[in-house]
Amino acid sequence: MTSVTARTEREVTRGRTRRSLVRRETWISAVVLLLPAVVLLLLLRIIPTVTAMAEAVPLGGERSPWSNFAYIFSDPSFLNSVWVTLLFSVIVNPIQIALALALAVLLTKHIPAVGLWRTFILLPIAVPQAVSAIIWLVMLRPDGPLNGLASAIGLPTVPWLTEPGWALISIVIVCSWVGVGYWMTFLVTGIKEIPSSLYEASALDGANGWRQFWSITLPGLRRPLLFVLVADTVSNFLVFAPVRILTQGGPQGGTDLLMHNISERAYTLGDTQAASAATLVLVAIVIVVVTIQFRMLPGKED
Amino acid sequence: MRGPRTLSAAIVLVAGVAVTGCQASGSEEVTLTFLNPHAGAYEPVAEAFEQAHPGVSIELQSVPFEQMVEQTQARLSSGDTSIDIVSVDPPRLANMVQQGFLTEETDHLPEMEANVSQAAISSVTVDDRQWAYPLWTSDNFLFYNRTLLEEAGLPVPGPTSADRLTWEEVVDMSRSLVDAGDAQYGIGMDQVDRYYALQPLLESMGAGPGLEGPDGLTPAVDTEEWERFGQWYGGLYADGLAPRGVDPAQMVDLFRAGHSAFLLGGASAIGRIADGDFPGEWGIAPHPYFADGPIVTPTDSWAIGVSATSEHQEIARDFVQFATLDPQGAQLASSVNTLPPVQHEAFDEYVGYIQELAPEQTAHFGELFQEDTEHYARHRPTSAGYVQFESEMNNAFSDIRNGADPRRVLGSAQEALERQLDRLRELAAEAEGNER
Repeated sequence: MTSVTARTEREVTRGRTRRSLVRRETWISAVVLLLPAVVLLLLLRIIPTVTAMAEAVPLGGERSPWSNFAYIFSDPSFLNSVWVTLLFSVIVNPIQIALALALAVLLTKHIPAVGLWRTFILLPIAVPQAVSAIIWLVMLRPDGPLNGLASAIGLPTVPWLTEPGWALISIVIVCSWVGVGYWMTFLVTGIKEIPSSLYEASALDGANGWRQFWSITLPGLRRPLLFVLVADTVSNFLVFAPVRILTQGGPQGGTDLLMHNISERAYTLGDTQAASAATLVLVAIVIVVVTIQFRMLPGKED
Repeated sequence: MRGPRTLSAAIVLVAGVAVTGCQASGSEEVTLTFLNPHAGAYEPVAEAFEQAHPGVSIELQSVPFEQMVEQTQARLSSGDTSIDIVSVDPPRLANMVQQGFLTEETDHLPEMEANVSQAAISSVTVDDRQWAYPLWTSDNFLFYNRTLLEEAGLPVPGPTSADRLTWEEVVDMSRSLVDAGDAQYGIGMDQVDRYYALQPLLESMGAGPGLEGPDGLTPAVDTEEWERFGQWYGGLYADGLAPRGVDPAQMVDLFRAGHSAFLLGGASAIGRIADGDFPGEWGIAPHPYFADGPIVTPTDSWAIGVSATSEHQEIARDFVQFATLDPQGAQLASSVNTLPPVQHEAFDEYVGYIQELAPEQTAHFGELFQEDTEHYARHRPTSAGYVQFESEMNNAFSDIRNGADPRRVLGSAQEALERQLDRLRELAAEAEGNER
């Protein structure tokens, strides 16, 4: 009895050692493989976030820890910037996604030279943001080519960058010029993954293109659409270069998106505390909006 | 005058070489990084310095003019030791000094006094101490399209200070040219919407500089005179006499292409206009003034400082002194951008050079420059809050140009400045408290 027990015990121990060896190896390789990502995450995300929080909430001084937030929320230029950013977001996201979707559907149909069109639509992505903004700066001048064209065909000229409302629309146009093609590629891939048999069967049942779009394409695109919606929203909250180059936040603060407002505070005025506080507000807004979007478009079926 | 000046310059140079000699022999290669907003401008002077100092190389990091403030702020405030030398815009000096960005150079005041004017030294002085070396000075002129004026039968402006036009005359001529369709625009400004170019107009109209009080931290931009200027400035654009939506970088080209009859511009425009295929003839007249007010002209330009976080301050200082106080160095540092150096001998050389570029147009350039500098030049306000002031005012001018109501724009600029300067005081007090 005792010997048997002893042997089983020994076997169990040996097995345990082997298993723990295997487990340790798994751990080591996991750590080695994850280390670069974790280090980068720490360096590029976690540490800056903590630094921003420490900057924004000064502890141990004479001032209240919340004084930086009190300051920015009492500053009309910051409140205007929050308003402009939300307004921009409400306008630009639906436009970009609708256009990207329309183009994706169009370019997955059998139209001639489809590759060529896709390339043309994607081309703006290859142009650096700063370069494209400079080209637009000339295009949108009051006496620039766009207005020249408008007056040549008898249309009224537009105060593109010189009137607050139109300036925001100009930023929407410039961002969409770059963005639509990019987001379109995700939707094209999504459409290609929808089985063509569904379209064939529905065609036999007499469904027209419009019906197919609503009943097959759109439901089939739910996951890529959710991704595009969230990623596009986030990227549009972080728009900076076009504003910096085209309008510097003007006229009259009409295009002063939060990213630009923050950068002005930090790097022109040298007020990094208020800039950090404003950054945290921007992050909070993005998190709230993205959470709402996730709730509104649940991918439950998957 | 010339003798002692040259002598002291030579002493500075020799002292510089001696110090460098010790450093170069004792240690290995040194690379100095010079952050500046003038692409290409310092290549000749850097090359000359490198040749005289084996083992030293100078890396020129040039950023666009608009980004210079941001880059300086971001990199020097984070204690970046990779920058040794930095361009300094005099009105921003007080703010940089307050943040501890620059080394104090008061010990070298005698060398400065031997080589540059008192006005230039005052542009690098904060609280009676010197923090940088003045390199260039500046002035604005009224460039005009002679062919356009002659064809329209309008009088051609004279070149000397005695012939100075009033703004009323310039606007009248512009209006008749634009109304008759002879010119697309009347007036362009190569520093449009910038306080630098507009301060002389404001002060000639009887307005204050906008920043007041002993520490220059009290904004006063919603006064009656400022508003009157705002109406005048906005009117130029509303009436189509000057172009909206054209940024400073495009203004000289607008004039050079014959699209505007006048250009209010600095000396650097001379090279660019003389270079191009200007349609017809052009000329240079003195900076105009308002009939009921004094003559006021702009002045000051970039200086160069040594970064307080540099690890090679001595050799960096040698380079800065060579580029600013040495006649040959200052001349080399001014040869690309055609900006007027403050170093006395280099300035004379510079005038000669400008006269070679455009002999006819610049016959009276040197004396006009001197006269403006001596009698009419007005410094920009010295204040730790100048950065806030300038960026707020540049935006305000731009809004007025685009058609916003001047009273409302200036009113909200006043409020914004009061808030920002209060905040500046609060943060400075806190920083002082922490140091104690």
